[in-house]
Amino acid sequence: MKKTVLDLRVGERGVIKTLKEGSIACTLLTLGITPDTEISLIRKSPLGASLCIRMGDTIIAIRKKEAQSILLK
Amino acid sequence: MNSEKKIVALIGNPNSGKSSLFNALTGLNQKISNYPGVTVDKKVGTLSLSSGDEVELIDFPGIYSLYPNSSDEKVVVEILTNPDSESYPDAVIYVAASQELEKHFLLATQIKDLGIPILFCLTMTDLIEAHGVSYDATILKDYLGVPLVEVSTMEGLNIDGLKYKLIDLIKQSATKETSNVYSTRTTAERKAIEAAAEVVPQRSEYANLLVAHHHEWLHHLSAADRIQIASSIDQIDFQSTRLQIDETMSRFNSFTPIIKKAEHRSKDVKSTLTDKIDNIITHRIFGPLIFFAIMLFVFQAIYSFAEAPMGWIEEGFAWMSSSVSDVLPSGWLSSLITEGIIAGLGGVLVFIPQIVILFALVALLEESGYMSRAVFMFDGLMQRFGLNGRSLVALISSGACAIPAIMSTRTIANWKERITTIMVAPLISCSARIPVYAVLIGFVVPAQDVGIFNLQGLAFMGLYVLGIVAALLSALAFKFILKSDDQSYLMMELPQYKQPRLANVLLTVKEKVWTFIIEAGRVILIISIILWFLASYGPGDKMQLAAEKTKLTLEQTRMDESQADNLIASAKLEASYAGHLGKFIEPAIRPLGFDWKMGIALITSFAAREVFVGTMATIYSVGQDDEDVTTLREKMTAERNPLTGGPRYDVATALSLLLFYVFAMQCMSTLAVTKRETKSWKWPLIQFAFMTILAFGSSLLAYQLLS
Repeated sequence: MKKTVLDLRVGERGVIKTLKEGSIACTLLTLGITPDTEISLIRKSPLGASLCIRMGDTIIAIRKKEAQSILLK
Repeated sequence: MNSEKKIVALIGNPNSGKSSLFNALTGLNQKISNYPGVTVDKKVGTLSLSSGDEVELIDFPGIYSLYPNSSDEKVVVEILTNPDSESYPDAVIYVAASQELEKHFLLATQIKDLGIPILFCLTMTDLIEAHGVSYDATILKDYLGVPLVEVSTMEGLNIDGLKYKLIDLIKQSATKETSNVYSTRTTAERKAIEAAAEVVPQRSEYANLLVAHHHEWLHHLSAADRIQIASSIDQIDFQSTRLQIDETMSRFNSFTPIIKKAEHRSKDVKSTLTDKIDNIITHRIFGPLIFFAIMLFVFQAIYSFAEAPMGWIEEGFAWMSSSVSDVLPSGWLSSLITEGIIAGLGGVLVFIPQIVILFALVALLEESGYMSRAVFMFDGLMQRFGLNGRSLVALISSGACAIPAIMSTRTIANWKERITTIMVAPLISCSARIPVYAVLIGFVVPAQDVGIFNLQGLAFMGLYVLGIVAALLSALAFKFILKSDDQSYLMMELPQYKQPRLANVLLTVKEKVWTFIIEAGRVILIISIILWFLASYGPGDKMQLAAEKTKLTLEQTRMDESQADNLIASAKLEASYAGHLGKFIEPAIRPLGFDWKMGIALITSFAAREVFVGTMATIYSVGQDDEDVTTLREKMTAERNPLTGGPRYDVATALSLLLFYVFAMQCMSTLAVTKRETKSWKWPLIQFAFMTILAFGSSLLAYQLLS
């Protein structure tokens, strides 16, 4: 199993290996979610459907499906 | 194209401080218009430079790259790939916040490759220091090969420096091909560029490449152009998504080392204030509670703070109306002006206090950064109903008026989620329904207190909840009916909390109020003139006869003059076209418990729902000037049902009427806006149909069960 952002526990960090190909990747990239960036999962939404990730000073809200397409090292 | 005034575009990521800079540069010299052919607001301002030049500054929607998702974002690409557009900029001020520069550089290098002169402007320099990050500007400038300026819009620092640099910038002519940041092109890209260049020549190769990538939705291409580009591209192996990813990666690889080199981090900021606030505000339990508390406050504020100014506006229009009828000789002109135009305008303007308050509060929530947290918290829930977290803003706005709400859906990238939001937004009870609820609720629920609650107050809330539930369930239905292959995203940056700037809030409110006045005003004014005609004229001389007959009857009784006038007005209304229409539709609405009088009110409500109250007042000869609705309510209570002898407004009828007003699409302005936003008649027709069915069905059910 490849590890993705969805597998992170809240507060845990990881380094992005690559993005699953597709149109989601396109949009993730434009937000600065690029390979070799350090990323941490900072919180989940009350119902757990969306996640907040942090890269440097930027906080981005993504859905589970989007989190799954970010593969970690 | 304007040859004298240079056009300068402000382009940058969302949350880059672009709008604050726009406000700082143009102040109140700004106006909103539309980009031709697309329904996205175009914010334009004028800026005078010390050189004597006047510049037209356009605040483009915030985007992250020239590979956009939402219709808001697509406008930028639309214009930058169309040099013939009247909005095509002579120069660009590229606005970048000084955090996470990589993200800003992506778009900046894309714009640069388009060959448009750029001034790179770093904002929020004050925030950088707080975060312990600073940059060596020379390194950045040398890499980009464009002038660079640092400003702080918060403190107004170096705005003059920016203007000074702008003087030089607009003197530069667009260079045909500068050194491109991204120039390693694949064979497929080369061929696509050639194919696009053959059809629509562009100023730069990169613009041609963008046309090749986006030809499917670019409006400035003709259908024939699109087909030609599509067929040439089909012959080569042009994998658009793959190539977009490769290009983006190649840009990041190019500038990331440069930014790392220019960056100085003095301290590592781990848990910022924003984090601490988020821990509470998006907490599993407190988060939703705080949200509902805020919403409760927002709606409480709308009703309590708006009451007084709404009263003044109503009095103002009543005064205007009576002054006009004093000055003008009585006749059709005086009646057209007072009952058609002034009444119509009054009907629009009376809602401004509520709209101002709601949008001021929404703008405060957005400016401070709270709204994006709410979107994050509820995106999952909204998705279950086929909506997007961003729909939340539209649904909240609908509590004041569906028109600005529908317009705010432009930020929703997914077509299906956007259409669904537009379709269901008018089900949320808007301010125009309140007067109707206020008149009718007393017939359904007695004015009693149960514990600390007032029964009528509870019923009022129940009608709101009903609207919300109906909106969510309808959304669910659309989720299963509509088909779409579009990807749905959340992917939203949560900005740092910051103190809202009053100027920004005020400008947003001004913008929303104007759209409301223009969008709603136009339609309401026209409809109210039509309705005035329908209510003031009748077939043949029937109205005349009815009036004279009533006069004769009245002469035998002793009645004071105003009472007599009211009775005559009521008799005339019955004989008018509107009265005939009411009687004509009576068979259709009888199963709902409505008679022709209510039929007239339903018809006149098409201008705006609150017209119901005024029409009822005329029908029951209360007279329009009556301040409160108590007299009207008394008259309605006294009204008997000729068939049963019981009260005409019994619980069944009143509830049926209330339900009708909760669900029915009785707002032509909203339909007009839906038509414009969806660019087809199909959606407003569907909206009208499903809401009418919902209204008819629930009223029928309620009446038949209770009567």
